[in-house]
Amino acid sequence: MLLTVDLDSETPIYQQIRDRVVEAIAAGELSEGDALPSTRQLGVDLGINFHTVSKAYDLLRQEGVIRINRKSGAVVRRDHSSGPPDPGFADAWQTRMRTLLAEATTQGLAPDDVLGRCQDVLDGFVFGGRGGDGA
Amino acid sequence: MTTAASLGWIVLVTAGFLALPAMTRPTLPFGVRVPHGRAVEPALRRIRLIYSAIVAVLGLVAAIIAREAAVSALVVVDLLAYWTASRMVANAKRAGEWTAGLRQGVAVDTTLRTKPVRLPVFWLVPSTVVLIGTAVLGAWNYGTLPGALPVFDGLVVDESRRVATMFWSAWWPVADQLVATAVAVLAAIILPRTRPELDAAQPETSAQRYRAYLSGVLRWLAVVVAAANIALLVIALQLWGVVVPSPVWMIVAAVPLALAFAGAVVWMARVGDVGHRLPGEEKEDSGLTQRDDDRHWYLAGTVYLNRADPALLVHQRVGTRWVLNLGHPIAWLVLVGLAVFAALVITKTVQLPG
Repeated sequence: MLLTVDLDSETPIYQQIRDRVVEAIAAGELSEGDALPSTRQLGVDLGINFHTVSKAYDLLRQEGVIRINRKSGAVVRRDHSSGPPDPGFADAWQTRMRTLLAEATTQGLAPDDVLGRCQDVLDGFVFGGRGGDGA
Repeated sequence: MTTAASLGWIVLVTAGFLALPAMTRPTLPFGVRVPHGRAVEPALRRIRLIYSAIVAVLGLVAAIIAREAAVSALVVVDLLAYWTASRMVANAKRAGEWTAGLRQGVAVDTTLRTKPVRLPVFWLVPSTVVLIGTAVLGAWNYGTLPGALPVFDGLVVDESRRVATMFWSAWWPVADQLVATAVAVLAAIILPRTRPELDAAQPETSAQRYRAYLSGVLRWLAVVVAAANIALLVIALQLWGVVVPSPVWMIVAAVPLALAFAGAVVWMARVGDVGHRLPGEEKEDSGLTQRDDDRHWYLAGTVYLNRADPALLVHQRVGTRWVLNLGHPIAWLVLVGLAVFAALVITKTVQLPG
């Protein structure tokens, strides 16, 4: 996967790394069982402190996206084909989505436009929304 | 050095310095980071022209003097010209606010870690076979060596001198082969672990190019080392009296080495620094520009010191070289180790073979 970090963004670097990994899994660039670079190696490659990478990996681990063990390092734990999400995930995710949808509504985006844009994003993922076959 | 040899070196040095700006990445003119959109600024063209004119005039003056000292003096003034051009680019960049309004970023391709560039082992087979063959031949002949051995000046035997047969005066070609082979093996292990030179503006294209470039660097290094080992084998054959020393053997040793070097130089010129001339999607644009780390680079992008960067070895901004990050504590340990070794060699506490 290609991981690009915007150093001038207001989003912290660890959050950007976390977001890019989740997006890469959704886009099919990473699958369950794929290895991620070690925190030190990714720190060197990005030219950032490896504690920042550790923070991103910890977040991904807490969310159940990756698992970390001493021998094999960080490995992708789940993707769209790994079965239903953990209990409680959908509700928590909907709470966060509510803020994003509220922003769109406040700024005057029509509901059809909002749904159309959501569909566009989903179409870019491996498991597309409409007619997605999980391939 | 003869006048002809001096002239040859002067032509080589001048050609090298004239070619340097073309080899450098378009976003790193004279070792200064500029955004993609600024790579074609008229100010940069003007600086390149001034630099080329100065290097050409310096070369001409050195050619007229054509003495041995002129070559080293030419290298120094050409380096000064390069450094001055670098300062001019940095000033133009600052005055024109070339980075204003751009978002800086960094990019990595994790597949360079999970499926790293590797040098297939068979590329190291020729140099290793020649090394082992030479060592076996040396062991076979060691008992029958004469009391004094010929001395070599480069690839040419110096007929007028002989040295007493001792361990190092007999075994130095094998020791040199061992060092050369070790360099190729270490490069194959270490270089793929260093930070890939990716461009945040064109992450995908630069990652593909870097992969091809690194793979080429390791292969060409293996070829040059194999050629060097063959040259050392030919020297060893003459040294140990297996064949009679003659200019013919010098040519036998020089031809593969010259071909390997020429091949490597042509390849480097074709692909450019970090493979920026290789085919790729030129229109790719991530909306970011590569992080501006000019303040950590010194002497026209040749010396790197950044305490906040965890990388120990980084690709230099100009040329196919990797340099230590002097902001890393281990870099200083390495330098102290080298300094101690150099002191031991100078004081002859440790004797180098050859």
